[in-house]
Amino acid sequence: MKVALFIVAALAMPLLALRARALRRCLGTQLGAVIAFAILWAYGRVLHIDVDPYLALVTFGVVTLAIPLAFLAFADDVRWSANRAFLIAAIGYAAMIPFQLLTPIDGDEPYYLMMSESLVRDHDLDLTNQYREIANSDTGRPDLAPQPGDPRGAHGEQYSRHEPFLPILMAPGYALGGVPGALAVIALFGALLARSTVRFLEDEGIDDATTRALFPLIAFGPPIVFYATRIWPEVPAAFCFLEALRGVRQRRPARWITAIFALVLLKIRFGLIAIVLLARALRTRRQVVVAGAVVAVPLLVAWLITGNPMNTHSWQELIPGGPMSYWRGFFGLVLDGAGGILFQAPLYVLAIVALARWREMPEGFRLGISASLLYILYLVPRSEWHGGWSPPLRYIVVLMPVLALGSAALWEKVGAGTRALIAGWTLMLVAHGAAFPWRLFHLATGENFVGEALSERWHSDFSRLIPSFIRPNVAAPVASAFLIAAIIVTVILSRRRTRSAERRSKDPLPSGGWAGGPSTVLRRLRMTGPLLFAALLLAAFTYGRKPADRVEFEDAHVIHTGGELFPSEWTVSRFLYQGGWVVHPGDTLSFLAKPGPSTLRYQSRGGATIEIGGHAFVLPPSGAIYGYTTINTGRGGHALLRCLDGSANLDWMQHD
Amino acid sequence: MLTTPIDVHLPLVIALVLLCAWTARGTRWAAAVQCAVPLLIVAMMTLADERTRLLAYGVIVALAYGAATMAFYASSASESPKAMERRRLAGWPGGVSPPEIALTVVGIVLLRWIPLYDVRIVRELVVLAGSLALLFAMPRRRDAAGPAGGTPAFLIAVLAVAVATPARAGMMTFLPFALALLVVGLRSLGVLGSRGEIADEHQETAIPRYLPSLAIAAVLLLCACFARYSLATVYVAAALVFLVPLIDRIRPLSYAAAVAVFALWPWSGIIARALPIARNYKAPVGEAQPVSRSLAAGESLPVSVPPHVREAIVTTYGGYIERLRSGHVVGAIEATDQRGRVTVRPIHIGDTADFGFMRREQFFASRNPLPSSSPGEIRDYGANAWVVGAGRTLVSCASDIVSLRIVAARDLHAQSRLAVDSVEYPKR
Repeated sequence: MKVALFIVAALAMPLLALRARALRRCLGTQLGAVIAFAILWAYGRVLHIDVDPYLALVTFGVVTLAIPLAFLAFADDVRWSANRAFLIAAIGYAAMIPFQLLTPIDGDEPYYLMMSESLVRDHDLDLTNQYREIANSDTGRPDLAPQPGDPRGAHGEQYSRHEPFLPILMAPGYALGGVPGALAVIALFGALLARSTVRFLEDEGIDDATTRALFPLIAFGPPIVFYATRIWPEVPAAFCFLEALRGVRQRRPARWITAIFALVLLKIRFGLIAIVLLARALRTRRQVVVAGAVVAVPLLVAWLITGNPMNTHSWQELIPGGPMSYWRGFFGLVLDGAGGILFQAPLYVLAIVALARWREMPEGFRLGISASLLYILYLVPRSEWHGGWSPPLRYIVVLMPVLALGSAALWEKVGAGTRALIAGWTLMLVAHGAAFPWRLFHLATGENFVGEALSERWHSDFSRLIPSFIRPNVAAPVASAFLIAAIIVTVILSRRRTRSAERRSKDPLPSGGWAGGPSTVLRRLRMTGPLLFAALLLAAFTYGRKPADRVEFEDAHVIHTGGELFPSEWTVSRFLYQGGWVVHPGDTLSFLAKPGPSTLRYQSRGGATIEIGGHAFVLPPSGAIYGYTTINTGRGGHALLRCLDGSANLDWMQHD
Repeated sequence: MLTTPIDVHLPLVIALVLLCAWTARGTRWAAAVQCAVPLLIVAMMTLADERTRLLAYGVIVALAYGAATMAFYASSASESPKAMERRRLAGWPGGVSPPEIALTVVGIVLLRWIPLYDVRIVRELVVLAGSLALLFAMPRRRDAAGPAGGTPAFLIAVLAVAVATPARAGMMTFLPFALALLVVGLRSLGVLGSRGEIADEHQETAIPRYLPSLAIAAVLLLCACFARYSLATVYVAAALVFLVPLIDRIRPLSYAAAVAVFALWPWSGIIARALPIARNYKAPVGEAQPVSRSLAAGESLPVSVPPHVREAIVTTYGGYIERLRSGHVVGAIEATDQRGRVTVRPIHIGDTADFGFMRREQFFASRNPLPSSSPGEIRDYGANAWVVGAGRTLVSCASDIVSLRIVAARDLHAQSRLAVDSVEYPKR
């Protein structure tokens, strides 16, 4: 099935998007890629190459499908329109869905599906019988139980905490085609989002070439490609938000009212976006009345189902949090290794830089960002800003079309090297997510798959080099400072450019400036972007192989023999706990350590004795709270910590 | 952990990639070629398995090299002759530009000079000079209707000749020079036309100008069919020089194949001497019983056989048999079944070969071919890479085998040996 869909997609995309010479070249290049892959496969057998065959095949598939998209971006003989973008996106998502179904659906997905199941089979939203017969459910999750906060009806009905609009939308697809049918509905919204995004970019003055170059990275890049092929309301919400924006920009009340209504029905939290957008859009009293109904109806529906108009939210959540929580949430959304834009959706980093050039940005970008400010303001201080148990960037998928516009506005201004790096990293993320869809869900431990892979390979803590705002590390404030500096520099350069443009318009004759000015330096730096990145990687690699000041015992670089994770892996909202590794007599932990004294943080009810660096250390009982003690790792290097007596939850060790 | 010669030469490889990026400067591909540098570092950091890491290096560099080549030739094709003239250095001989030379040098260094410690500098410089001479000799488009320039097929042919040139075989080092002279001679006789010339509209017959080129290539390929294996590689490489018009016609298929083969540069010795290994490789099919015994002339070795097997695959290789020609019998496998019938399966050169005949220093003088069924054991790296000359010979009986004996031929040279590596019993 996957192979058939892939072949159809590989042939259909070029036929839809290209013509004449470009079409012939594209098909020839794809055939060439097949031949090259076959040759490498043949020699790979002889060389006994140790690569997961499934990963190799998926990567090859992603590369082959990227070829027509690259031709679409760069060739001249193209057939391009928003409708073709819709079709291309639909084909791509249809090819992606089987890969996402490799493992059972997870996170909130099975609950949405169960609601659709209940609607189709029982014509109600009572999930009591669904939970009773969970083994026969199409969710494929016999372990499923009601989520905390799931409301109960007056007669003992079991409802879901999730809004029912998405399940209603999926019901026809589910009735026709089961789980793939439900996913097809989401994919349809994804394709509609792709079409609307193309129209949005065109409406806001982005040129055709840039739109075509960015379309593959937006439609088939993270996070949209993953949310368009999984059961989440984020992509339908993004479509509704974008249509609302376009409706406001084009002054078409019917469009933006319908879109905002659907947006709030999808998720109550999007009401924070709706409020600001409505405030910008309302012009007549009639519109005010309709807008009131638009906001009130979803609240009423929520109240009817759950007894709480805010569904599972409370008014207390609107009280602002502390400054640290804002720092963690905002910078985390941009820079976190597991849940930040920089690492999980690099294209949209340009949109963050675009914020610094606010006045030069298209009106649609400024409207979209300002409409989402309230939403972001209430998102960032939440403990689950990173999305919880979901693919990355869940809570800001709705804003991606607006961020795409910001990125598009800056696309031609960044160097070709940076663009190549963004495209390459995006390709890698898509191949990784397609081959290992379960890895899109990452435990919020403060690590990410890159740091973990390197740490396991080299038995050294590489995760400390990647900023984490889930479990803040040294890289987090450093990266934050860099981001602030980059934004300040962007603002300064932008103002200088504006002033020099104004000066030039007043005095067109050249005044003999400095040939090696900042713009020349920047232009040269832009040309060597990949080389600077390579130097950074090399520096990071060299530094990462040295022992860290702080060793978190639950991390991937620590070799655990015996013991267990604390709290256990599948504890709900595990990121709210202080973690560690519980050791019992005989259990060992091996890690790279600096020589000399270190402070150990631990928790032990009855006390414990550990050995490290050839010396034994007694850990006095600390009761239910964490305690500290000083130990000595001896000569450092590859240290072995062994529990001799008692048991303790070892959190971290900090070199003094 | 990073201990192979290829890992050690990674800085050199990065420098070569940067040279490729320089050749593509000014084109949209320059940035993509530069991206190979961080990709190489990522591969070095993340891939623990040695061969996977080296193949990753191979693919990354091959793609960068291919992109640089395509970018260079595409930009040359789109430039006007005047623009090309302006870019050419004063006094520079016509046709070949410095970036083209740079790409040739990069290709040859990757394919022949790694590992550096084993390079015989004078010989390698002769091969390099000869390859450049061949590049200059290649017929190029010179008509006024289009820009002067080459095609990536030139590089494919030149690099094929360079990699096939034996460096430790006396005068064979001058093979590229010889081919260059041949090409120049044929061009001066009017046999080989310039690339892209259209048939004169006043000519009565519309015979493509590259037909003589294809005929020469056909002759060379025919010679390859009858020559010994080590010479056949040279003939095939030489034929590629005259197949440039055809290679150019079936792009991007030929280019893709070339990039894929080039990706094996971490084992470039395999490209030079054992490219058919992908076809001849046979993976183990059953439980292997190690034997590790060598037999002198006339000696025999009984091998115990497990019950209920009707087939056995014996892996053998020879010592000091590299001069024996294909078909020469070096031993035999005698299988006796439970009905007492004896099946004798001769072991020829072709079923097996000398252990190290594919080593760089031994290859050209050897008469052995690559065994038709090879376990594909690859040793060493770079231009020193070679395939162990072991071969797998199948003997099968109508009923269960009760005893197996391997016998070395009586006419083996005193120093020669037939070594029995292992015996496999395929599952029924």
